[in-house]
Amino acid sequence: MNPPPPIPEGAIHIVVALHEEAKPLISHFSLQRIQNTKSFPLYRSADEKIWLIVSGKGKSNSAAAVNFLAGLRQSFPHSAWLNIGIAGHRTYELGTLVLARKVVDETMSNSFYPTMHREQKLPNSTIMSVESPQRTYPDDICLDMEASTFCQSAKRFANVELIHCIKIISDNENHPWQELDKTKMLEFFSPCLGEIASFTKELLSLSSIEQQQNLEPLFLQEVMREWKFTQTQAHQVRAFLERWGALEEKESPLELYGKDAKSAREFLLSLENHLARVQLQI
Amino acid sequence: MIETIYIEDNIQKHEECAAIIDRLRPKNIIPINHYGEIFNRKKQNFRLQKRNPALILAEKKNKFVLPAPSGYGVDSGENYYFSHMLNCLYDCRYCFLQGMYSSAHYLLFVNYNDFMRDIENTIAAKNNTAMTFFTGYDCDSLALEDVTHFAERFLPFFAKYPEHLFELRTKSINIKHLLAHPPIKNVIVAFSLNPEPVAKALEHKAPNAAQRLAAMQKLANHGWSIGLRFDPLIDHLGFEDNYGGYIQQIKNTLPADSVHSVSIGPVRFPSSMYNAIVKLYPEEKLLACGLEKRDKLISYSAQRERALVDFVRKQLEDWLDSEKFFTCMPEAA
Repeated sequence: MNPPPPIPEGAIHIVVALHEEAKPLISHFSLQRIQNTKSFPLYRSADEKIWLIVSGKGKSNSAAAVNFLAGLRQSFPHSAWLNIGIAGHRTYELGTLVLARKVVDETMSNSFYPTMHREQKLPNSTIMSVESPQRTYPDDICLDMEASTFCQSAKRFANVELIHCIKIISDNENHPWQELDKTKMLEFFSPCLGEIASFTKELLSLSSIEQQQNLEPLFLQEVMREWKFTQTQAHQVRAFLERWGALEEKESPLELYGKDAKSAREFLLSLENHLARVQLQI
Repeated sequence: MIETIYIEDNIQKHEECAAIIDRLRPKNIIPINHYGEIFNRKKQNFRLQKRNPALILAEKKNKFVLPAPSGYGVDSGENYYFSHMLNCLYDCRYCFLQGMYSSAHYLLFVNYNDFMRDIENTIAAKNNTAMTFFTGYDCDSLALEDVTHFAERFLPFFAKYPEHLFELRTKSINIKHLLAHPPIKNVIVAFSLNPEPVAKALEHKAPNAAQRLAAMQKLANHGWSIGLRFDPLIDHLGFEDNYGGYIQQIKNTLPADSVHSVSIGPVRFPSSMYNAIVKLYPEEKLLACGLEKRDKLISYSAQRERALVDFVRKQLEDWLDSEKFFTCMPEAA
């Protein structure tokens, strides 16, 4: 008897630049430091659904942190990716939480457009990533130092629907970045933690849907152990067992057809014929 | 409810865009350089996007009118189609659009006049050959009418070419504009039909079978020609009872002379498209049973296909002339 399939719950990888930005999130999500990673400080929740990496400031650090975490979590490719950090904007009030709708880089022509999901209620804005803090603020664009390379790197590992950036306004025309006191980061983050948690939950839900789409079909391992399949046949086995699962067939196909089949090919043929004979019930 | 509109920079001031924004008043308006930045990008999850598609407003540059795919026409003459929009408001589990495009966003080409010009050129090039032009291949022709005003704009154009047929294919009951317009003899309003159990199980977000029948009745009473499109037929336990019952309702409701044509075709997928759709919805029973691979097609067995088509045809033969029947058996691409 096979165990029931795991219930997909999704996962999220959060990338922040600074320890001061990470602290309120670590506390809110009750994350624990993973001790054996030296390249980047890395934290995770007890259920391993939420991961947080501290990249360090700037675009290259952000890209490197994404690559590092993606490498570490290769076995979970359906994770959402979220860049959380501070940004400047000419007019937005300090502490405003903003969702990126378009992410551009001051030196690159290609833009990234995070998908606007229905559930999100946050105000949104274009974010432009720059090399260093700016003296002037452009019209209606948030300035940060990580989002562009975060997105460009994350999209190598995840579908675009699962990649987002949210920024908290830390400086504006009246309070320029030179006045920014990192020790007061908690003051910016604390009022936003509820919204961030809610957004994180939505991304976990999307991640879980994608995880569900890619679950290994039931009986795959035992079938693969029983016969030696060519590469093409192995693809067929997976496809047939997905269909077997969709039909909610309870019995193992090995029990039904494994004993009589003289070869992997015969077994596959039996499976295919079985599926072709079943009539849709609606 | 469309919350986000992406607009190509070069058509920001196009009058159709302004009108659409005014109708929708979306939460987000996001400028883009080219629709491909959103619609054609790699690593999209169609299923996740389908939860809340955005509308992309773009300008089509070429290939406005194309030869209709095999099995799509309703006569043996010249069949063409044009798509002012890609993707559909509805979420039918058998729909090839799921496997065709990587994006689920609605892509609307707002340069309607260029479509009309190309249709005129196509007509002129064929020198009086009777032609049929289809809409509703890459989208539903009427489902987003309140936003696009597609029918409103194109009906007067179709009326200018009475020697050619124009088909609006739809599952929508959004027919108020057609009812406000005098019927046009060379325009067919063709409804994709399946009995209610099939519609309920597989045609998510689409009007139910009874609503479609009521819409057809209103249009027929108003004088419009109706197309009955049993395409795709979905085999299932109770096929004969369900299709037989629904067809009887149609016969009881519509005057036979309002029916322009009937097309009948079983569900078929090119195998690459089938694989893409299964990847999106591995739990979908429709895709799991009764199907087999034949060359590059995933379909019911040839024998079963024939039985399904023959059954539906037989239910209608005593009601409609035989020249009104067409069988849709598209070949694999």
